[in-house]
Amino acid sequence: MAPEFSIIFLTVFAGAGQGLFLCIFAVDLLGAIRGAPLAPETVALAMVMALALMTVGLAASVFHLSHPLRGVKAARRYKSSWLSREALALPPAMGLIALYGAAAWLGYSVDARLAIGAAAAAAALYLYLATGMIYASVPYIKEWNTAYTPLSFTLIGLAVGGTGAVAVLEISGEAALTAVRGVIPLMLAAALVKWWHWRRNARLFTPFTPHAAIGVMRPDARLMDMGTTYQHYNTTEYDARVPAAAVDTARYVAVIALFILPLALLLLDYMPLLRGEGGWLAAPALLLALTGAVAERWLFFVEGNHAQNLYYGSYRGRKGPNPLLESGKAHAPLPPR
Amino acid sequence: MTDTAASAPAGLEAKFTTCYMCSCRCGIKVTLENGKIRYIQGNPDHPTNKGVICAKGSAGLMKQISPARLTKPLLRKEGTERGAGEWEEITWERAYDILVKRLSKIRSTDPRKLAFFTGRDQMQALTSYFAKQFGTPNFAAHGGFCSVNVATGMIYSIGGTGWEFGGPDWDRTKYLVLFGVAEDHDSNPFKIGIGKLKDRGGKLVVINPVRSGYGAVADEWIPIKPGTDGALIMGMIHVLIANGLYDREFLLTRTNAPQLVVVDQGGEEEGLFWQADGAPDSDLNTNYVWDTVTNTPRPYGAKGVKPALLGAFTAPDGTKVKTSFQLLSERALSDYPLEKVAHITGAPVEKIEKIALEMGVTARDETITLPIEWTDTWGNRHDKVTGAPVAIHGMRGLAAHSNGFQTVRALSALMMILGTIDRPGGFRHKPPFPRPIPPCPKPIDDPELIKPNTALPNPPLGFPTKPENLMVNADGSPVRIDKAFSWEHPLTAHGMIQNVITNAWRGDPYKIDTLMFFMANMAWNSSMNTARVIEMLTDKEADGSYRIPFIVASDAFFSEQAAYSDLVLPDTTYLERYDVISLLDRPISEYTGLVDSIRQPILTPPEGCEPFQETLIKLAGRLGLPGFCGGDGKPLFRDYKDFITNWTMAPDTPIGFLAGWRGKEGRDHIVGEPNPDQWDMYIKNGCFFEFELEESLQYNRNINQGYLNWALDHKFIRRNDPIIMKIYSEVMQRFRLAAQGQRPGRQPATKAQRERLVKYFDPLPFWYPPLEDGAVDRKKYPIHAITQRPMPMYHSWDSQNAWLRQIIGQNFLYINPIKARELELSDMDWVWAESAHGKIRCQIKFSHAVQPDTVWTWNAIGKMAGAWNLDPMADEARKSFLLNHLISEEINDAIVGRVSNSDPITGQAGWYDLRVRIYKAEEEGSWPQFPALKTPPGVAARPERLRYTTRSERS
Amino acid sequence: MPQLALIIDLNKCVGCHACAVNCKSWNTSGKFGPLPEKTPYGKEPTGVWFNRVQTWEVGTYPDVDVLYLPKSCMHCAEAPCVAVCPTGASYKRAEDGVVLVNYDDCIGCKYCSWACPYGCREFDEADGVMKKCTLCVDRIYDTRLPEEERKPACVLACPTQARVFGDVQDTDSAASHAIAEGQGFRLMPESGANPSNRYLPRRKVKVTVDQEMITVRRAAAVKSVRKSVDIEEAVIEDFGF
Ligand SMILES: Nc1nc2c(c(=O)[nH]1)N[C@H]1C(S)=C(S)[C@@H](COP(=O)(O)OP(=O)(O)OC[C@H]3O[C@@H](n4cnc5c(=O)[nH]c(N)nc54)[C@H](O)[C@@H]3O)O[C@H]1N2
Ligand SMILES: Nc1nc2c(c(=O)[nH]1)N[C@H]1C(S)=C(S)[C@@H](COP(=O)(O)OP(=O)(O)OC[C@H]3O[C@@H](n4cnc5c(=O)[nH]c(N)nc54)[C@H](O)[C@@H]3O)O[C@H]1N2
Ligand code: SF4
Ligand code: SF4
Ligand code: SF4
Ligand code: SF4
Ligand code: SF4
Ligand SMILES: [Mo]
Repeated sequence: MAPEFSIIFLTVFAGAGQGLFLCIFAVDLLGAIRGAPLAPETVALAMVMALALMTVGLAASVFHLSHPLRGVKAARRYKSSWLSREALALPPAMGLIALYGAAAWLGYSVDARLAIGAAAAAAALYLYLATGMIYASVPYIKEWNTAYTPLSFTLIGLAVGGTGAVAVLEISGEAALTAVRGVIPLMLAAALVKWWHWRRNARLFTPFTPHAAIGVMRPDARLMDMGTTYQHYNTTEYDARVPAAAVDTARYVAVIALFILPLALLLLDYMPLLRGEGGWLAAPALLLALTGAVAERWLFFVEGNHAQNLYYGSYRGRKGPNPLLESGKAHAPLPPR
Repeated sequence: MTDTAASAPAGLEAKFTTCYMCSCRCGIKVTLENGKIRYIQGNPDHPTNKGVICAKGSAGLMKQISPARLTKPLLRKEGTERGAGEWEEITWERAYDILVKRLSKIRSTDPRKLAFFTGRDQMQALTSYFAKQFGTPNFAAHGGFCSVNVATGMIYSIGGTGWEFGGPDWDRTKYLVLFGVAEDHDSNPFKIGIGKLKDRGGKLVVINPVRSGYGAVADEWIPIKPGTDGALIMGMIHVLIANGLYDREFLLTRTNAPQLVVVDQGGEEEGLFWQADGAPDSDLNTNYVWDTVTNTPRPYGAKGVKPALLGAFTAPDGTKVKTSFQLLSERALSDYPLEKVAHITGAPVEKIEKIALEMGVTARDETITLPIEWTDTWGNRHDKVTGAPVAIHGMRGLAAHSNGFQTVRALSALMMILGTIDRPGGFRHKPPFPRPIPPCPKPIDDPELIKPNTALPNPPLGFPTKPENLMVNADGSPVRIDKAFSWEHPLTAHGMIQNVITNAWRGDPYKIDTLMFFMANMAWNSSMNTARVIEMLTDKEADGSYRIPFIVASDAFFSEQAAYSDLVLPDTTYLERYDVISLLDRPISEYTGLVDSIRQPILTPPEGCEPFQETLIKLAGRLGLPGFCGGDGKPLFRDYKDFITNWTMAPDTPIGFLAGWRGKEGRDHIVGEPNPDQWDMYIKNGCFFEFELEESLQYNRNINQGYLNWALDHKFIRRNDPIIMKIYSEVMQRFRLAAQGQRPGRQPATKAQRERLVKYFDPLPFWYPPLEDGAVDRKKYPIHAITQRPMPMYHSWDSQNAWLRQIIGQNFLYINPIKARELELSDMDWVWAESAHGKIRCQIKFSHAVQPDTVWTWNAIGKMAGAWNLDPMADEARKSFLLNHLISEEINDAIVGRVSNSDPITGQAGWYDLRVRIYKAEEEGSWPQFPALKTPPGVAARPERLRYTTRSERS
Repeated sequence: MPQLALIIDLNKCVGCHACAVNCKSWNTSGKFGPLPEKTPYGKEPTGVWFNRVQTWEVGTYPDVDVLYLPKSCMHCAEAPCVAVCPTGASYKRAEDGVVLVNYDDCIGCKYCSWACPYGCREFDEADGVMKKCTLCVDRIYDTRLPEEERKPACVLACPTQARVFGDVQDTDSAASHAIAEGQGFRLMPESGANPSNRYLPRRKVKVTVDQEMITVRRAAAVKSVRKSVDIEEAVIEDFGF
């Protein structure tokens, strides 16, 4: 699939915002249980951060729509469309997150705040699910059509957002240690799930074949001409046409910037935090993680291989430029000797 | 006939007219909304296309909005170079002044100095009439570079040919064999027919180096090596004769198969048909057969005679004779053993045998019988019409080779052997065919008849039957600029447009003054050796004047030809003018009867455009040409519409361009006084006229007395004698005898010409390697290179069409990976394709659907940068290519030296004889490249986006 | 429930593109038009087409088949594009099963096209809405058109008559007969979308020749031709039919 930056930013930033909120809420909740809830200002600041991230995502998503003003109509098909459900879940999630922050700022009781937070958490978690399912529910992109998709969207969102939470806590000089203790395993889990997801995709058996696509019994069907000479929506939207080197680079960036470096930074902060000193590496870690997450999401798109590409000569999760599409026409393989 | 005024939804207006996105000329219904074309569809009542329409026809609306449209007469600016793109927009008045001045001078001095050639037009009735009245012999349409081999090969054999003149009986055939057809003239009828064949469960066999289009749905594909079909067909004839699978009855009663040929003595009569009492050889002879009852020669068709089909005999006068069929059998059996045929053609022996046997057995066993009574020319009444459901059709795959005439002769023989001509299930004629073999008009055989200020006695083209018909001077040199009807190319029935520019440039046989093209892109895709042709078009004499002094082009678009002309006359499009599709030209008849049609303007043309027909009529009027002007020199016709209504062949022959609704009241057909309301009556009938023949006149027309009488009455033929088909052609033999010095009368002047004629003018069909094979090093250039017509494009016309160019924007050179691997080439490589004449760079693409010794590409996709008002960087200019650069219009023939690269008999251009070698190119992009043409004045700017709709925009 | 659809006979399709271009001709000014183009006279022109005719090759030389595959929206029974459309702009009509897009509701999110296994949706950048084959609903019910013309443009145009249009649920329709007789199949059935359009496969015709009879006649015929060459004035019995 062609990487669409509007959607990449939407999922990465909104996911990070949700994660930031969820981690803060968890720390707040655990603190409250232990009798030490977060300072209202910290919660409020964190929620501003969370909402800022989500707003960036939302703003990006508007660029994806040709008719954003009709966006409200997107809520109509919630019975069958995950996109509709996402559209439906996003405003309450953001609203509740805002309320949670406001409750803290306005000095509502911790219980009231946490009650709102719990509702917001439910909405945010559902939002993760809805976002992930938009992709996971497309049966024709097998790379996406798996539980790994919502799972990794959620875990990466939590890990990146969690790093943000740590950063906020470090800035406010509060309970960052608890958060770090939570975020490191989240980060590891996200990495592990992503690794499994990649591994799965690398070994993916694809049920869609050229001969089934055109209904012939012989297995050596090949497209000679896609009907018109040049690129059109069904080729530009569905075939990434990126160089293999870019894919490799993206994977390095994703692994290093999303997982390795933030983990290292958080670990570096761990000791000082344990000693009660303030840490300050979570903020750079967040920036790195966001960058890495963008790379990961870009890769996610690029590796999505839609069944319809069979009809345009670019099926097979081909890496790098597609000679067929470059020249506008399909490719015939060599016959067996 | 029903009134078929077009119906359309409220608020919309629909009109019928005739399509001209290609030469097929289907009936269309055009719906208009807010003055723009809403929709173009097929006219369901039209006999040609019965409601269907093709891709080009559907895209007609994009033609109207093309920014390549020319809208102003353009004159090359004084002192600027031809092709440099410096134009002066002039008025039509000025254009007429220029033309009248120049042409009247030519006419009053040497009319030959006007060479008027037309391309893929279909109005030769008018253009040739203009040339005739002007007095120049230098007129022809596109046939010479197109398919004259198919036309003459069949016309000289069976009295009719394909396309608008005949074709497969789509309603009944069960076994259809196509030789070298990609698309053909009959685009839609062909496809309708293939659909019907498939519905009937019939079998389709395609013989073609390439499998595509019709070949794709073929039940069997024979990937033949280009240029070898003659051998394949002779091999099939071998199989059929060897297995007794020939239609005796048919051969005996409709062909000259049993006629007796003189075989023993040499001399004047050798190889001609035996005549009693030494009667002279003549086209009108009935000839003799060997009567097995009396054991004597008896006239063909005489009562009570039982002719021998095979055999060698001694005539009462002691002359040794053999039947034509005996001669053909000997040739097929001894010269074409299947192993040899397989070696030549690349088709396996078993396959050749299989297809031939299947054809033969189907023809023999699946007789079609129709309860239709008819009478043959010998007065025998028949109570039924029978036929064999095998149809064979060949097109440019056969025609566009320098051995094509003889190949098509072989094809005709094959059809005769199977007995599938003008009978149900086989090949069927379309009136006005069949005609005598060959038709009566002859070229002007006396150069003295070409005189200043004088019309020619008959049209410039015709069908020679003997050397005396040639158009040569006393010294044997050609009369025509294209050397048609000369000793080099005697049967050039369609002229040789492909040699006009070269000959005019060289001044061989003489220099001309004005070269006028109508609807022909001779500066590009319609010429061989394109780059050189462009040089010739711009080449100058020592004194700085152009070697071809003045070039006029009528075009509707900014074509390459328009760019390389001095005066450009912007034509209308087919939706903006009156036109006729006339029986005097290439009509659109059906097997069952006559059809002709008209066009009516659906849209108003842009200000500066004028229909070329109008231009010709006006020009003729101003030049005072007889036929267009009265005795007082005043024009007889107001305009083209008026001309069509009122012109008749001769005062006593009330036949005009249109056959329908003649006579004052419009009650007569074909023959009748002019009818002032004729146009309206056509329009009322959906713009076509159909005259269905009585059933008894629809079959066996070569010998159907009823039909022949009818045709004579309606002046389609000048004699109602039976049209006996020619397995053996005495026309060929006459030329051969002349070349051998055996025949009194005209003889070729040079030894080389004699040798050439002796070699190729064989009265029996035979195969010889195409001329190019003998002229180039086949080891060095081992690969055949050919083109095919793409179904959604018409020559060069359609690259300016916003829809069609999306379908094919770049052409590739398709190569079999088996060959590519040998040449160490990869898919999508850029390569050099090099012939003995030149080289081009192009991109290859692997395909298994091509014979491995052959490469092919789509025709005419490549464009000169800037032409057709396309972006000069468009793929058509930068990645696409023309094979034409590789094909030379002349070759160095082993016998005659430099000669046109054409069939030595008919002058048909040998496009598909091309041989190349292919090797990897380092750079990408097509080559050669030419400096981008400048956009001329009067054309619209290219829009970046197009959002065509006739609706008032939604609120 | 009725389900209108197209049946395309691959045994007749010669890849002429008439259906694709006539579709443009009808639809660009139709209710669901326009079908715009980008750089129509420039480099790499492109545009919106509701129907595209592809060329495929199967097998290796000389045993190779060339197949043309015209492809437009299949009007799937389980149209996945409809289910995922968040706005309801994409819908499947109950009365005839035609899948359509309401351009006034479409937000241009493109999600429907991701959900289409066949690549049959075409995004109109100019209008920012998703477009696709409409089965010519603005023709087929238009009572102002002559009855015989109330068919999709592509069906009217197709010169080989390789396209049949009708209700595939009605077992008596021409469409259903064509499917039954021609062994109609669906493209990529594993998509689960249950496409309504069907394709009829290639059906190769074989002619059988009675070899025995051929052999007998051959001997006689060859003899006859040879004989006539050798023997003068012999009256030859030839063997034609
Ligand atoms: N769509 C469309 N229709 C057209 C035209 C067009 O430009 N576009 N042009 C019109 C004109 S002017 C003409 S003349 C007709 C021509 O109609 P066609 O005769 O169909 O023209 P070509 O495309 O030249 O097709 C020649 C076929 O012969 C094959 N061939 C080449 N060499 C050989 C050979 O040696 N043996 C055999 N057996 N096959 C061979 C080629 O592969 C090709 O398939 O079409 C007319 N119709
Ligand atoms: N390599 C190769 N070359 C070939 C062939 C091939 O098979 N291979 N085929 C050959 C054959 S068979 C043919 S017939 C020729 C075709 O050759 P041409 O007859 O030259 O055909 P076009 O290239 O279409 O050129 C026709 C010209 O007419 C113009 N035109 C279109 N409509 C109108 C109109 O309404 N009025 C006027 N006045 N002009 C109009 C077009 O703009 C164009 O410039 O090509 C030949 N060239
Ligand atoms: S076949 Fe030719 S005449 Fe007929 S519709 Fe197509 S373009 Fe027009
Ligand atoms: S692009 Fe339009 S039709 Fe498609 S899913 Fe989005 S809103 Fe629905
Ligand atoms: S083919 Fe695609 S667009 Fe058409 S109904 Fe099926 S899923 Fe929807
Ligand atoms: S049914 Fe109508 S919209 Fe659909 S492909 Fe055919 S012509 Fe186009
Ligand atoms: S119009 Fe008919 S024959 Fe032509 S491509 Fe379409 S389906 Fe095939
Ligand atoms: Mo032609």
